Amino acid sequence: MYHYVSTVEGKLKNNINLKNIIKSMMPGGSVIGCPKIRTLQLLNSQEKEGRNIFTGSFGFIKFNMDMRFNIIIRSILNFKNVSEISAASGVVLDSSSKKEFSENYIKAKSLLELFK
Amino acid sequence: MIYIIDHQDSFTWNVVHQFSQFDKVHCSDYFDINKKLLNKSDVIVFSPGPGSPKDYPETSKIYNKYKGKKKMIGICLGFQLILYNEGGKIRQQNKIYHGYQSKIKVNGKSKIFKKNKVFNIGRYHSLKLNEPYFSKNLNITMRCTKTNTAMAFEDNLNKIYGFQFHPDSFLTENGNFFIKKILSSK
Repeated sequence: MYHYVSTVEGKLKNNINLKNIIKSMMPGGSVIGCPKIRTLQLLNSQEKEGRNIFTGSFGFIKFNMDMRFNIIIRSILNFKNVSEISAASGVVLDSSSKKEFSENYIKAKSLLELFK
Repeated sequence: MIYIIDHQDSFTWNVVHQFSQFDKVHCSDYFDINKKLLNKSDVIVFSPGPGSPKDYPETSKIYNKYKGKKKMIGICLGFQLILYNEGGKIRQQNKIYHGYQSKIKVNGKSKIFKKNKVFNIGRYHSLKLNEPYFSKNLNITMRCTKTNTAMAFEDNLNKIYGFQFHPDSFLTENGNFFIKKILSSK
């Protein structure tokens, strides 16, 4: 399994505020695909259940407006007596279904083992 | 000023960034056009985007309105959209190229690029121009060296240009060169 990490740097234009930044960053391209708006529509019509907090984000905004947010993956959502674990992978035209399935299994495995 | 019409593609921002190196750029969604600014612009760029040209009748209207009056450039979907309005048929490719680098070669019909010059370019497209295709003023000027797929055209009479590949992509070597040449052509 591979995780790709890229550092993106830039300078903000003068008229950009926090709301603009969050609105254009979320949902993250890595959990949606490209072109973002069209793939969002396709995913909404294909995925049978809502993602809940999975692939959403949490973080903090400091008083000086610095902020830090993540994309929620490898997480357990506990509610009453039910725990929910989600795993997913990005699919491209030449992906193999078998390999994608094993990738998702590897991703969920460490969390699933906590429940044995 | 360059007006970029966005077909809600994630690549559009790379296109905006690229064109901003040459002139002031205004970009808006295809359904939210600032008509005053569009009318004032010197160049109109049709962005890449999902779907096929027939999904964007609003953009076709703009193309036909300004044809011959302003310089226009189409990239990827924009390239297909211009060809579609010029009687071309756009169809699915047998092999789909998303994120592929190919070699393309300039043919003798180009008035802007040197004949036989080969470029490494980035491709992200499912559809292509169905050929044979004939047009009075518009010539296919670059083709994929392997599949012969149409990769660029020029209509030097009406100042209309198109690239099926992405000059904005990191997979295209020296992508700025293509834009600079088109923008400076008289």
